[in-house]
Amino acid sequence: MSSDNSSPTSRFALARRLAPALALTSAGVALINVLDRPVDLSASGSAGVADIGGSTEAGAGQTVTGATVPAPTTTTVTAATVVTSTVPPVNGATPDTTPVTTPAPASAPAACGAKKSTGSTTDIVDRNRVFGTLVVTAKFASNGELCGVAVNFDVWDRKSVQIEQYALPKLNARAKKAKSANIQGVSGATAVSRAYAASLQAAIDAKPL
Amino acid sequence: MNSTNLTVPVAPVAKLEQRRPLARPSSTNLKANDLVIVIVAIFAIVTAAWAMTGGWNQVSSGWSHAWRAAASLTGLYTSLFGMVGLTLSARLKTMERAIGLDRLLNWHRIAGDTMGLLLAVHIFTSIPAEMPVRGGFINTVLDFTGREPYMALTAIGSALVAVVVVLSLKDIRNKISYETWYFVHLTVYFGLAASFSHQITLGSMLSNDRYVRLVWVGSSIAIFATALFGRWWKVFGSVARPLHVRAVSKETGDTVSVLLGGRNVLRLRGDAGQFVMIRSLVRGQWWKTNPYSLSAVPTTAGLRVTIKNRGDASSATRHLRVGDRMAVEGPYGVTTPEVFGDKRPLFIAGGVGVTPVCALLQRLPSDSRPTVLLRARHESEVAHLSEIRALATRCGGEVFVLTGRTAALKGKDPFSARSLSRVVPELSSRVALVCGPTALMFAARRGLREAGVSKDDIHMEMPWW
Repeated sequence: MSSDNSSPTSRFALARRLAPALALTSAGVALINVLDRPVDLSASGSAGVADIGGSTEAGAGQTVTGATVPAPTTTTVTAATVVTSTVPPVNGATPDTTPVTTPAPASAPAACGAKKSTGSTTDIVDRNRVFGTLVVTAKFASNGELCGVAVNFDVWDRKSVQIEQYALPKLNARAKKAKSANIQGVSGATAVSRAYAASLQAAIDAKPL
Repeated sequence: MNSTNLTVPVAPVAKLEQRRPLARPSSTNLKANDLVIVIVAIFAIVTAAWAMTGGWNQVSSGWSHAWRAAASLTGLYTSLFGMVGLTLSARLKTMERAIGLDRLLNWHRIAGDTMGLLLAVHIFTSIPAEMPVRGGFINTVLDFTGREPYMALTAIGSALVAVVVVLSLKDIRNKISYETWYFVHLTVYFGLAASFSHQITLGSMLSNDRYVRLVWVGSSIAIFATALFGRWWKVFGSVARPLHVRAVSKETGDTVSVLLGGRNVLRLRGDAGQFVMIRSLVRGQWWKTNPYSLSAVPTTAGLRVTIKNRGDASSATRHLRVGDRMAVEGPYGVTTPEVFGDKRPLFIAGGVGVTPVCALLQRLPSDSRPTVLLRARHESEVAHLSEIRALATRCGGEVFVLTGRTAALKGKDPFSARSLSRVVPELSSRVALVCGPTALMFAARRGLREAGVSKDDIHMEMPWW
């Protein structure tokens, strides 16, 4: 480079050369402050509840778990066309797929939840790694048919929370449709699907007569 | 490789007071290949850890999984290349002795470029990987730029890294002044540190296994600290213990030789063929460093460097006065006299590239019969020419000066295998040192390789900027 030979020690040489770096750094710091708006997913542990097909009473029963859960994580999907989502619209973690509105059989709702049984607490495990646990509560109509499912889960990292929130409504809908634990897993959530099916099977096996 | 047969001549340089050569640079058994093996091994271990913690399974289980697997692997590689790059620029003594600062810094640049590429791949695979879970493209991008904790830091950190990588592309870098580029390029420290935390919160391999996490965080901190201290401690040391200009003498129309001496020179170890990074501690210059080859064997009397006025900092050397303080880092470089072994040396130098030749000739044994090829526009432009002639004659060698503009030498490549072997006897069994402008170095290397000189016997220091 053949730059200014004539004035090797121009007055603001250092300042001029430092300016871009300083500008870049301060722009970076400022942008971080503007952008950093984390959505708190796990203020008090990453437990959550996904409930489908339950009556309001059943839903109220779930708030025992729900109370310990920070509001944004609680995704309640009720079968009766009403989709309640306490997730604020700003929360990007809410999957578009959450509002699974499973059309409830017209005759069933009143009777659904007449009998309940809770399955085994199952580890969500992929090979040798454990992400957390879940436990399925199955609700049965008076004729003994599976008519609703509620899940409590307790996972240990924020990524799993997202996977849970994404997968469990789908699994609930599938179980309700199949009326058994013989359901297809959700892709992207294999470990959850497996644990879910196992716990649900246990709940069905323990169905009160 | 034993140094007893290499002697130091008494006379030719200049009349200097009582002097003896400085201690030779420490030797090491480490080879460049060893370092490559270590780096490859680290990559293999990380890849294996990724595969065993589910990465491999993900690849073969559907698109969204494959994206996720690719994102995590490229993420790991990106930060590995960042760490490798930092380590290379840390000027660790053993590594420098084995590989040479010039090659370390060239590797540093390659690591940086690769990191930039991988960073792009990492970003563009992370988005499709997370889209199903986060509800679409927009939501994913918003999450990754601030809603997800630590991701605002990461996004800005990666942006800084990207800016630095783009500015470091040769075409762009040559358009801005070296120091402007250099200061911007230092913001990469901030960029790397800022984007670190997301590796822990989002990287599934790291967030799910405590021991993996411990090793990863530990080594990252260690490498960051090594880079910071290794690099900057040397700068502080050189400023705290500067050398002083003892003598300045004009060599040719645009070159001066400068003798840097003083008490602090005794702390240095160095040999002919090495170079130093010089920071002139005068007003308006202290924030610039430039590399200069030693043009004489470094002695207790001082280091002699020969500086050509190319503009910028080196033009300030014309205003050098005896007594000015100069911060000196180094000497660095691995083309010490040992590289010649028992073979006949061949020097090819152009322009101010004669300086290491001059120093190395002083250290050659009297039966080494070197050949020196110098390239210049005019003989009067070759610094230290009479000194080089005297030194070469002393050890039975010859000096050829090829003058004239390259355009005037039409049709004849002076460094083709044919022209070289016409001038240089026993060409293929020589050890060659090439020094000068990049074009000359490449031309000479091509010619030497064609003439049958083995790759290990061609030594040159590539510019890294």
